[in-house]
Amino acid sequence: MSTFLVEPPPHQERMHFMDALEDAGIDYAREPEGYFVYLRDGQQAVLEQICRKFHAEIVEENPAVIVDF
Amino acid sequence: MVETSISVIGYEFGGPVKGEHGEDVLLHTTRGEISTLLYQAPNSESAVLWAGSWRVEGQGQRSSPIARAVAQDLVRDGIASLLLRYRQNAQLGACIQDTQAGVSFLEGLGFKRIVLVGHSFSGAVVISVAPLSRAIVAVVALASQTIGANSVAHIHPRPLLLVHGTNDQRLNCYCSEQIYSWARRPKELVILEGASHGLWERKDDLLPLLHHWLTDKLDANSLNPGESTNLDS
Repeated sequence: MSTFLVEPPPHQERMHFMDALEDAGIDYAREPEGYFVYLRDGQQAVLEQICRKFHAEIVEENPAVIVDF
Repeated sequence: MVETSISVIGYEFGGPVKGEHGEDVLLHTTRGEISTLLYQAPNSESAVLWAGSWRVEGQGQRSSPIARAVAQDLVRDGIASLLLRYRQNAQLGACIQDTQAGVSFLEGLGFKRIVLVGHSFSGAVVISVAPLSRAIVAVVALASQTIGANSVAHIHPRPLLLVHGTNDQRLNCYCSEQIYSWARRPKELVILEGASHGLWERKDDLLPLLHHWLTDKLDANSLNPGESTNLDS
């Protein structure tokens, strides 16, 4: 399982971007830094396709996640 | 055990309010008095409850410009509105109770279909209240905060509309994106370019959006979510 940090697409595409992730069964979390996308095997190509379609950019693979207690 | 319930035990109509189109209604509850402004629509069974949109301003009270504008238009479509002032601002638990009391009051008047609208802090309030009554058929959260909104999945199957401005300096529009990510469908997210926290810069888009969305969800021909779907699912 890999985690990717995706920079948000343009404002008007964000709802459709999240809908596409959900339709593809891809787990994600919207955080201030961007979208943390959690991929299972075989989902990376789908993520890349969604990012291209909605002009979102994958900026980091397996980003450090700071847990604030 | 902490008592969390609230009941409406009576109400008084206070007549028209200067500068407003609605009339003053004071709700007597088991938790104290709640001031509201009611926009009546004769023979209507549909209403919008605007949580926190009736406020103290100077020596008097004033409705929020968004609520006032949309409520006036909705009356022409046969939809009533209740603007509600909290007993204590920014106390999430108390504001949830106050909004529940507003819903109970509307149900007592015979309204069968209610949409909740909340702006900023009140976005979290209406999201929290929505699952508590079958009469609530949809929810609108404008420039909502996330604190208190993480139960948003529980409003399913009611439709949810989230609206946020890109120039919001108080709550970044990622807040509504995050709430959207937590919510179940049906859900919509509208991001208004250039709008601040008050959203008023984009009123020419916002007001028609709210008017159309609310009238659509309060369409008397639609079923209540509770009639068509198991609300506990």
